[in-house]
Amino acid sequence: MTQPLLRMADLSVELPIGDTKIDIIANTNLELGRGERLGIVGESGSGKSITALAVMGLLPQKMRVRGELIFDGHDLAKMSEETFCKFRGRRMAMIFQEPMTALNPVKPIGAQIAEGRILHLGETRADAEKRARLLLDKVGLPAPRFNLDLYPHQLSGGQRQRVMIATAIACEPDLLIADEPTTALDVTVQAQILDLLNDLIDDTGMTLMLITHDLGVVSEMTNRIAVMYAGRVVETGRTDDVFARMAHPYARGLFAASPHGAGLMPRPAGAGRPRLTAIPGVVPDPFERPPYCTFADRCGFVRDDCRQSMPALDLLSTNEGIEHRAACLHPCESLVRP
Amino acid sequence: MISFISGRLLSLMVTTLVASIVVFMLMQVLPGDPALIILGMNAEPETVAALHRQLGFDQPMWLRYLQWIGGFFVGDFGTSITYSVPISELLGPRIMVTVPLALMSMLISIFGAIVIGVYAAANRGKIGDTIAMGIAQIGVAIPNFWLALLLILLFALKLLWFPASGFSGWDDGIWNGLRSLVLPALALGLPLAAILGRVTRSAVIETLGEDFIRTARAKGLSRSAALWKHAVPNALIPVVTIVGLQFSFLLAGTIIIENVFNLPGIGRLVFQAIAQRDLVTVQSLVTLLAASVIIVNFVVDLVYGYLDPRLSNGGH
Repeated sequence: MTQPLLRMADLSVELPIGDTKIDIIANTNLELGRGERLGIVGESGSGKSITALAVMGLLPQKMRVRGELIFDGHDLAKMSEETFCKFRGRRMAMIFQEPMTALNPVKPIGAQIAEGRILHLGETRADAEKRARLLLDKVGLPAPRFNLDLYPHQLSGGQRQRVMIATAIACEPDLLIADEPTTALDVTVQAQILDLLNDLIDDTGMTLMLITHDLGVVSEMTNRIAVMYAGRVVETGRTDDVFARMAHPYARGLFAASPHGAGLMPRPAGAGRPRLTAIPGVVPDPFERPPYCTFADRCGFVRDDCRQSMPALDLLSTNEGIEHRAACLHPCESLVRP
Repeated sequence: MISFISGRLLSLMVTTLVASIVVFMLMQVLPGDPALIILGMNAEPETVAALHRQLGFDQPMWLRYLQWIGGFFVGDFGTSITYSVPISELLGPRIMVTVPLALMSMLISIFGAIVIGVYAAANRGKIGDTIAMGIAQIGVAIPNFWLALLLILLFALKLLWFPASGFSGWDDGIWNGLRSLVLPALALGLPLAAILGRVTRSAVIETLGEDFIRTARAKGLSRSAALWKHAVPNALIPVVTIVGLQFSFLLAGTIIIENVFNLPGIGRLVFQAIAQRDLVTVQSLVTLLAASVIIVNFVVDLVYGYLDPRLSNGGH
């Protein structure tokens, strides 16, 4: 494998509370090659969004990054704020979950899309707005109905998310991070936005990091997946492989709890669709994470040695050059779906 | 937009009328007979009665109101009892003092508030914030006439930068006129800047927490670019509201400050007219001041529409 676009090596995000520090993200190793589409899944509080914000350098002020965060040969963790500003929006861009509040209400959308090009590429306002016009066409907001001088309040949620996408891709970034881009949208609009993202990524060859808890979206949009739990990656591999085996009990639980994942589970012929099963318990509070497998206390397959040490992210198999790894001492062996 | 403005204009007229009625009624119940002040305490009752007739005080109240307010709308504010000249003649030169003074004070208030408020918000929780808000707290607590005395002591008597009192007029150059207004404008504007600065700080802090600030940062804007280009324009909306409200405090302040600095302005005229029971002058001036407050707030409403596009052009 050539040099990956993004590499997290032993990456932790720590938050000082009083005299102690707690790790919101703990010792994460993750690589993202050029043109790859990585999905990060996990329940709320598992550290998905913090991972994305760490890559963007937009963590809340108190949080600190420890370890390596290499983007195209540059270590973002050690980068000065000034240099980082030249990367943000230019080399990496992000789409947020909430399109209703993510756009500035008192600025026209054209100016908001053009802003990045003026800043990073030194274009004049006129050139940048010409470009913004093309971008609006590209994200499915054609003239004359959707002019550059419209304000966000004149657009629907889906249209605003399209504007957000246009803003994010304005400088043709290498990496696009989408943090639950469709969660806040109507179901019908969700599919349109995903199609749009799909086409744009195919056209431009951007690398995608998609954060979601919608497993259906992950299976359609990504070729690789990382399942996060309590600040750690617990399973990663080709999306198909992970869906087929779900080696980590948490992954299996997460999938069984979602309509898409549950549909993949084997069931006796003639039996109806099974009820979705919830994972008992809650994600452990970052203050009270045990020194052993963080999922042990909720795990249905737990054994004695699970409560003795933190399992490493062990290699299970390699398929098409992509490793399938799981952080479990006793990974599920049986395939969910052959 | 047209219906917005015409609606506003109508309510502006009605408010001014109501204010004029209140002012007129107050003047009627105020103790002190202007005829006695003009003629002296020992005047003969016949002379007083004759002067009452001459001033029109023997007519019914509603008729006097209608005569006064009728003239008001065509620019005839009545005749001053003490000076025996039309009030509009008294106004002309005094407006040339008070309006520049009020404008300068407002500029000082707005500019000072934005500097101190945005600085404090950007350094929230740090030492700079504490110092800035400490200064603002002192500014809120200091009465403007006392601040005026301090300014005179320092800048007029010690440093000799500005005149201690009086107004040299606009005839020998704009700069000379402005020089005599600098200290009064500071005395009026700085306490207002302190109050407005606290409002600005909390408004900027609130907008800095909005999602679109994170979007701006994700585009690559530096912290300060996101602050000035995205947070401040949004934070100005509540700030402008307070500016409109502060204008009435500012006019009340001119009455005191023009007396402290011995400026021949409207505020001083009002003060003298009250002292001399010049009822017609007082009621005309106070109604004019009320009208100017109402007009300024009308302008604030228009600025609103400019600052917040959600108000001026509705959604589809």
